[in-house]
Amino acid sequence: MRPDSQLVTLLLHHWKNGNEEALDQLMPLVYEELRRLARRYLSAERPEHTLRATELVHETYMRLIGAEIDWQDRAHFYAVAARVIRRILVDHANSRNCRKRGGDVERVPLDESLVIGAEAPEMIVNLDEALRRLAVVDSRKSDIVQCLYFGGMTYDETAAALNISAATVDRELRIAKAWLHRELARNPAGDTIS
Amino acid sequence: MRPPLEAGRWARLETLFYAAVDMDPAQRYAFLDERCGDDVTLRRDVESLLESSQKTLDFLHKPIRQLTESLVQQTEHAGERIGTYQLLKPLGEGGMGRVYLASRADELYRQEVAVKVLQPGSKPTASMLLRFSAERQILANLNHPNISRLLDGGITTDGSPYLVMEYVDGVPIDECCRENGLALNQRLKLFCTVCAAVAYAHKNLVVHRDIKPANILVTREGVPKLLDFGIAKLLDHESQAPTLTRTAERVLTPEYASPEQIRGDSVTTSTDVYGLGVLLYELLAGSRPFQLQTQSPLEAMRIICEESPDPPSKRIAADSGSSNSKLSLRVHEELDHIVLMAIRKEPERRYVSVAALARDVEAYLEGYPVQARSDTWSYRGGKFVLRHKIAVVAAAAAFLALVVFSIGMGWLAKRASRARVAAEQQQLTAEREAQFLASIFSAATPEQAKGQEVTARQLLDQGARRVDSELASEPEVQATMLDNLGHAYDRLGLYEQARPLLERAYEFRKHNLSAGSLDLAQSAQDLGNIYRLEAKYEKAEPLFRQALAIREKTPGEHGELLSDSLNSLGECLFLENRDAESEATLRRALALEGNRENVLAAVTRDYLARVVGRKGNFNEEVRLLEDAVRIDRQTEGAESPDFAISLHNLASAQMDLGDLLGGERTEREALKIRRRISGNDHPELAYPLNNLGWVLLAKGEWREAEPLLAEALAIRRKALGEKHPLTAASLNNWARVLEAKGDYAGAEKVFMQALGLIRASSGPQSWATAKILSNLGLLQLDQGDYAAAEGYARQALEMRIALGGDDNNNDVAASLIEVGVAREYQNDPASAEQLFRQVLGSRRKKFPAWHPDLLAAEIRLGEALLTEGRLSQAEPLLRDAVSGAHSAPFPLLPWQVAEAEVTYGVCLARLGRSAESKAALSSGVPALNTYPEAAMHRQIERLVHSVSQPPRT
Repeated sequence: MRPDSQLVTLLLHHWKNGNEEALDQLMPLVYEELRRLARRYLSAERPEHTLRATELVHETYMRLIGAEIDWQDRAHFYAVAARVIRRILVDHANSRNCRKRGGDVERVPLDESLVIGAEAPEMIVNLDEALRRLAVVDSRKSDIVQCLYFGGMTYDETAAALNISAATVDRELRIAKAWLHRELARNPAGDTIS
Repeated sequence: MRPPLEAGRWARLETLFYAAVDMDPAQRYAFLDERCGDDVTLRRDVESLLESSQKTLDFLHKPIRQLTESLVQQTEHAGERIGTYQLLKPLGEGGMGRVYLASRADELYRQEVAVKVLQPGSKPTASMLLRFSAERQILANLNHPNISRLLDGGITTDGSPYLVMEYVDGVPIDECCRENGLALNQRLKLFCTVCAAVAYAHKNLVVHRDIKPANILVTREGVPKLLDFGIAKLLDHESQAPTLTRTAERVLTPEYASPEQIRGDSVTTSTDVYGLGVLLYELLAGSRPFQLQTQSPLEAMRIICEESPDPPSKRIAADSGSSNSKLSLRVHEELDHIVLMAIRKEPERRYVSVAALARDVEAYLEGYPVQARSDTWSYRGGKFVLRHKIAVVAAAAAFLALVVFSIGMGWLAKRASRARVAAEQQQLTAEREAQFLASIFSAATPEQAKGQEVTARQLLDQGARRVDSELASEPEVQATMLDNLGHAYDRLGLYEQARPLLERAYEFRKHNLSAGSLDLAQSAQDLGNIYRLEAKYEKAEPLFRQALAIREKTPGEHGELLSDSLNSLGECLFLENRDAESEATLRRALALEGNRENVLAAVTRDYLARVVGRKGNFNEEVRLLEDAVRIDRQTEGAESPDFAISLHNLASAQMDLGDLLGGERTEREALKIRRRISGNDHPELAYPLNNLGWVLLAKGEWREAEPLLAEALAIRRKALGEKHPLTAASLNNWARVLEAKGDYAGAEKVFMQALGLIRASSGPQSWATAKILSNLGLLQLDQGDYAAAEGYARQALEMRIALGGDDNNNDVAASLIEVGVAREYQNDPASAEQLFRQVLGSRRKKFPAWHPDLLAAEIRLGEALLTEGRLSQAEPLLRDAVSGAHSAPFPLLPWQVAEAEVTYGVCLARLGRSAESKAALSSGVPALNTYPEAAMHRQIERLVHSVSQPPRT
């Protein structure tokens, strides 16, 4: 194990035991690793350029910690990663939104093989805000959505990370989805909803 | 518009949703009719949710994916320009950011530099920003040929801070020595240069904290340069009280981490000595003292904190097949000693400074004798070296909720007396324990016998391993041994180790002994204690109940065992904030004990005192504690820990009663005894220190309070670690010192720290949390931010009410007053008046006329009425306050009396009774200078000023 993975495991352990500061320290580590991996994914010659958040997280996990940790710890890790991904994406979405409005960034332009539709950033920002509103009255449902959608976790993993049963995840998700759908459907950015 | 989402409404929506979602339309319609009735908005809400429940959120996947991809592509900085620097290529990355090679881009000047940019691509956390700017500040002050120099710094256009540093084109020092085949002397000289750099940093009050080869590059010319002060820490002499850089303290490289870094103890210059020691080890032996690559993190931590490494010479001999055979293998024994001295586990046993380490290396180089000596702890047969940590230290862990910051609770340590319960039982256990330990001891390995330190911990660990392997076929004996080991760990305060053993013993006994077995009861009791100490009350309580039930049913004289269980249960209930049940349980114990005056009886009284104290029944509290004190003095003697504890508890109760000066006296005595019996390092000392500190703060004597509270905090940090709730308590008190000094920013920071720690351990709601919130409110008052003060005061109030506090509860009353004061200062004396009246009403019922708390209520109300100009109502109130103050059965604090007199004096002046006014004012005003609350002090002064201006003619 690399020294970093020992640290990550330690921090994960602390966070599981309720130490919120450990999360602060975990985030940058996870973030760095995620980025490193994502770059590799895209730069390598892969036939499909579709990058699934879930693949990213799984691989990050493996690289940072290895397979020896019991799967419940892994679930907690995924939950952290889910939170990280969400935070990162929302920040990124906000910055993209800003740029649309003419923020000045001194950059040597990079190739972008992907053209990002205008809807994506706004959608994510709206989702984030909706989740935050939800979290005020019911943080667990917000966490469930975060795990499943941002972290690409399975029901079982989500259940383990949040210390509830998979049946609870299933049940709570129903109303969470319904509510979110209602909230997001009201927004202009989300017109293309089936 | 839909109604905003709010908890109650959501809960109703949820219930209706789940019930209705699987119904068919007709059923659903009827159901909603019945449940929603006239509430049209509710019905519409549910219906729209039900409609949406058919839809999916799959449409989210695409945007998430797209954003991820775009993110990944845009966060590469290379090729960018930052300020006048053009980034060329990345040099490396770490947790905080990335370092790029860059060149200065204007035509005048070509220079290669290293640019470190904080975490690109995502918003940096506050702690990262703090660290980054701390690094910048630190580097700016350091000007040394062997430390990489800071050239510039700033913020990029997308808001990331960056540093520009001297670019060091070199290789890590270990590689340098290896690749160039440097001889021993050359390595040592290089090492001394590095030491000089570190010593310089120390002189500038900076500890590097991350010394390792990767951070020391050697240039082509052979000049070593120290890099990456990323987690360096500024040692500020000014604020000796440790400020929190917890988030900045991170163990980056486990193999180089010192034991104190791993444990989270305070880090000092000695930590760098350790790092240099490991570096020297590596330069001499070619490998690191500890091989941690394959270890699990917890194992790695343990190894660093406990295991002794091979001396370098031995490691070289073992590795003699490696490339280091080029190196002169004659690493003299003295170098061994130097290295080992630098990497001793205890900071105070290492070299006293980096300079001392360097001096010894130089002495060696020049052939002079070195200071370091070999470390001999020889083994005396029959005894082992016990690292003695009294169980009480960790015992305190459990009683988070009890931590009354301004009044410490030492009775937590009553846990120690538990060990004396059921003397016969304990005797047997102790014997068996001793037997088992003795058997382990005698099988100790030869290495351990030969001069290395042996800790009780090591022996216990061995024992734990042997119990499994040797006793697997004798489960009953195994259970007993598990129990013993569990106890032994418990005594050492190692609850994490104790718990699994006791759990196993318990499980075994549960399944194999009869349900009414006393052994089972004992196991349940022991395990319950561990859970309680770990604050897992929901697990502890059923175990205590089980033990109690068994003991109740057992015929014969088991008075003591029953008391023990009742005490534990009562305590546990109190900690769960179930005061009524707790009181009932403890009173039952009290009744059982009758007139017996033994340790158990004292313990019961201690606990019960706390329960009734929380109800506000201070008289009974003091009585119970006086009894406890008396019993302890009789049974344990005046130099006993139990007596010191009881004295301390009594002092607390006196303070509750309003007799601060009396409490101060008692507490000083408790402190004296405690110092005598436990010395100056003992964690127990923290309780009386805290109390005394509190009283002195209340007296307005913060200068006297300061060293006491600093000492308490230091003790707790050392013994309990940074995150412990009691450390948080001490932090809270320390913040109050800072506040008294006028360092408001500092105080706020420390309060927040304490708040975070308490929340982490007790959850979002607890009396302790409320206390800190309340303190934060008072701090805002001092700073003049009345709206913020009110915010905090209200939070504290709500929390206290939610925890079950009612009008009678003094904390609730205090909150009401705080809110009132905040409102008054925001020019709303009417609201203030209402609140003060409420408090006055309940306090009048509770307190006698002289009690400082009642006086305070009267004075606050009087002040508010004064402000509103209702002099005729204010006057009798304030007059009562003055006469009350003068009629106390014990002397009150000077400012408490003065406050009444002065406010009354102002009222009299406004009523035109100037002679009386003058008398009251001249008596009171001088004594106000010790008034501890700055904001209220200002208010009073304003009032005084308003009547001492001569009228304009």
